[in-house]
Amino acid sequence: MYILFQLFALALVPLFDSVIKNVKAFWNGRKWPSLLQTYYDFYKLFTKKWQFISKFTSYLTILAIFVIFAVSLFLFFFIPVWWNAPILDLSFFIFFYVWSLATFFMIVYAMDNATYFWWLWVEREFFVMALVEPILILVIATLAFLFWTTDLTSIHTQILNLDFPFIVGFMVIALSVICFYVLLAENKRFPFDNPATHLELTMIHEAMLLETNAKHLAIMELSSKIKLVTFFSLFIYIFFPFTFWITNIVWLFVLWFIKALVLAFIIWTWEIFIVKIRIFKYQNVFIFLFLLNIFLLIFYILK
Amino acid sequence: MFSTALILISLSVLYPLFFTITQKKIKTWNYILIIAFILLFIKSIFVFFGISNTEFFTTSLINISFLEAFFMLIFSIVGVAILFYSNYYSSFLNKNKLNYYTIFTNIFLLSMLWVIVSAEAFTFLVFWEFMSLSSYFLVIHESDKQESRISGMWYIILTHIGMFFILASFLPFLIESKSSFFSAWQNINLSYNSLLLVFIASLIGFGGKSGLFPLHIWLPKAHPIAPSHISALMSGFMVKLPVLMLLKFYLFFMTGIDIRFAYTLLILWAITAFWWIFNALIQNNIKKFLAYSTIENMWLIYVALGIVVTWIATKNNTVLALWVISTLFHTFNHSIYKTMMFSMAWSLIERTHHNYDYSRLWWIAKIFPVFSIFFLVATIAIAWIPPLNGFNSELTVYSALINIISWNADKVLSLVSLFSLILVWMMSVLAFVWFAKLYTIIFAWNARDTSIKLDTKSNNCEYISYTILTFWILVLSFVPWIINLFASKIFSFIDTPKTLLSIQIWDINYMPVLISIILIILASLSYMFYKSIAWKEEKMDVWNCWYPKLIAKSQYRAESLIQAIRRVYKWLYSETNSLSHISKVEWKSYYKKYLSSIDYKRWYFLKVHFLYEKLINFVWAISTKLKSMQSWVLQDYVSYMLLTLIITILYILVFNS
Repeated sequence: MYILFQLFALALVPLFDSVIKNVKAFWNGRKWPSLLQTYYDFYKLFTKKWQFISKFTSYLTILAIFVIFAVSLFLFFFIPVWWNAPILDLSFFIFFYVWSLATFFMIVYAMDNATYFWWLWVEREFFVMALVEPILILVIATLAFLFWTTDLTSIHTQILNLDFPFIVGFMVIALSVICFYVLLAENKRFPFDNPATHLELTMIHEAMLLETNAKHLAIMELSSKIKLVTFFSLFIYIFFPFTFWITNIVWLFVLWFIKALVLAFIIWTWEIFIVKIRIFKYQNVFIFLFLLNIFLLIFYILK
Repeated sequence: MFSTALILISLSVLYPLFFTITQKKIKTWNYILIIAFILLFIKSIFVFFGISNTEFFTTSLINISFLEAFFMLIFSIVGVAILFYSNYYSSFLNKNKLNYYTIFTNIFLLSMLWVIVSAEAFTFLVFWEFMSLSSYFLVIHESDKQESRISGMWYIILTHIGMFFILASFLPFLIESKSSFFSAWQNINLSYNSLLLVFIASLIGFGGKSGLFPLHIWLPKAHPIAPSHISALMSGFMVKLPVLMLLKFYLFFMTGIDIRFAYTLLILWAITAFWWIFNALIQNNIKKFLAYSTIENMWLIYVALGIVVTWIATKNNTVLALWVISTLFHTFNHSIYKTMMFSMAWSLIERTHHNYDYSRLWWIAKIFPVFSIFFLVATIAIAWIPPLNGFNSELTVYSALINIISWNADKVLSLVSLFSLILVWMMSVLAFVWFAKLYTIIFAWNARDTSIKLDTKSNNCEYISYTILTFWILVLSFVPWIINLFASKIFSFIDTPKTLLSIQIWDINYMPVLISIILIILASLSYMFYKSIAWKEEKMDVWNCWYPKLIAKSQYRAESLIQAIRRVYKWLYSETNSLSHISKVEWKSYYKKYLSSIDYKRWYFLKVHFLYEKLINFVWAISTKLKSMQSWVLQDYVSYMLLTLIITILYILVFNS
């Protein structure tokens, strides 16, 4: 049952991309494309007759693509997205470390193709990773200290039942802000990256897809979209777990979908009104978040 | 069984003393040694399962309990792999020095075995000294090179300072128990001051050997210079021997251990790691890079050891007994994958005609795929990425530290643990970055330096060695609970919970086998789908920035890939604008200003050498003063002796009355 719903959720993944485009078009005052546009795009990419690849690639390219795709699918299927009975009880730690396997193979893919844009991406990916990942793991640790668990389901249940003192609630809100920034940086969104631009000065995520085409492009795009939705679901699951007294599985699924759409709407409305930060000013933001999180932890220890 | 192995290894030391060694004889002796090491492996398994066997001889100097057996197990696995590798390596040795290599390599193996099993302090010290000396002679095997001699000097001096402190740490026990046997040292109540002395001396003595700040500087100097199978042994196993001794000290000898000892361990090693972390970032010499990685891994082991000390000092949390395992687990893991990395690194260096700079290598995955797969396994293990074994032990350390903080017994302890925890995280991320960089630069395409040609002639012995180590990496990754089998025996007095059956730590369910199977299924399903769509593949040129073809000048180098990170952390580095790598003719042809860019080989972070220079100047000043005593006249020396005698007698008369 869960698997069926999750397959359905997978089918909804491209829809989120359409929603993003539509929200942006709405705020820009443009006419927006059909909601099915992303499905058409994927169909087109998958049915291309030719697959061009860099002549320097070895077996690593194919290996990397499918490891990345498998990891995205795995995390999408096996974290408890909207239902409180996941198949595997994955903890936060395992979630992010398994994702690091995908990142490793993305770097392998990038270097194996030997294109300038990929190297550019690798450099910036290293940079963002070295700044973001410690914060991400600190967030997990803080949650672990607060709720005495790193298990996603039990953190979710405790927040849902408001089963904690007021001070912890305050800390959870602070954490959600930090986590929100981490989510944006991990998925290469505004204000850290502009996915719509193709200027080599500004791009991070798009740089890696510039010289990819046809099925490879489709698979890579799909995994990055799956990643985005997974992060969305996780964020909702931890920080907005409220179910409004709904118990029916179908309605829970609908609720998850609505919450994700609302979050998407908020993020992309917000994106319109802010500007991208220069790359070498990232560290100011991240070091601030890092210190804020350490402050929270020390506060927790000394309280 | 053990005695047979011991006799075989001793014979291998004696033979080259009397007979000339040829390459064929080295191989023969290596096979004999492999048999000896397999016997050691069986012996340690026998110890764990309580199977008794008859020995040729027994001596009270040797004691093999569970802890020793565990280290012997690691030693035998690493040893067999190294000996197979040595069969491959021996064909590249200097033919005039074959006896030299063989003697010292075999002494090195023998003395390490003795250090593990010796049950008596002086035997231990003698063989510890043999171990240091033999490895020193192996480090300086290319003694005609100045770099080799200087590294060897640093190594021998720092090792002997360590030796002095080890002796000092033994003294209180020798005095108190009036016995030099380790078994007599248990259950001795030392005063707090002696305990403090033992702790500090043992930390400096043993910690220096495994690279503790500021005694670590020999490590990145000596490891790249030594022959590669010796670097692998040193990095893979020798630096773990101090952990064995410290475990003995903390668990058995030092009763009444203080929680502040744990703080010292955690903080000192955090500084060590911090030094490592940013030095490895800019390192292009592959063997130096791996040496820095050794310091980092040793740090994780010592953090785990700090957790052990915390447990012993507080003794009020039975769950924490589980975390004791993480020390042993990471020791095992690191021995296996670091040995593999060092062996493979040398294979690359040899195949590219002695090119140590990994940033010049390219395209190896395409022309040498089998090798690249082995290297991929080792990289994923060493970069602490799931599902392989490095991550398993890292996860145990994580959970232990989180557990200590959540437990919230002591505020200072929590803060210190938090400090370690944050560093472990930063380290795991940066280790990921560096090993991703290392792997992709070597194996992915990038025509950086077309003068590098790779010799793809493969050697069976080499691959046997990699296969053995890969097998153990896979075992430790997917059957991690075997470590519990050993730990429950070793720490039987702790009442270890038996729940490490998948790694179930605290509440983290981590099932590496299940995750891997699911990933493999998903990947192969999507690959089949991909293959099933009709498609034609065409290999194309990529966009070359308007150059007609990819050339080295227009490409990213190893330095460029981490340029952004380096820029953020630039306040940590002191730059030197050395132009040593550019010839004078070249220098004239460029603008002076343009060339004063940074030479990446000469970046220092935290000038440790400054400390050493002060120390050396001090010792030098004192010894020049003392030199005036050396008059080369006999009566002067006799009068010194007389003076010493008078002082001694006075001392005894005054203090013993």
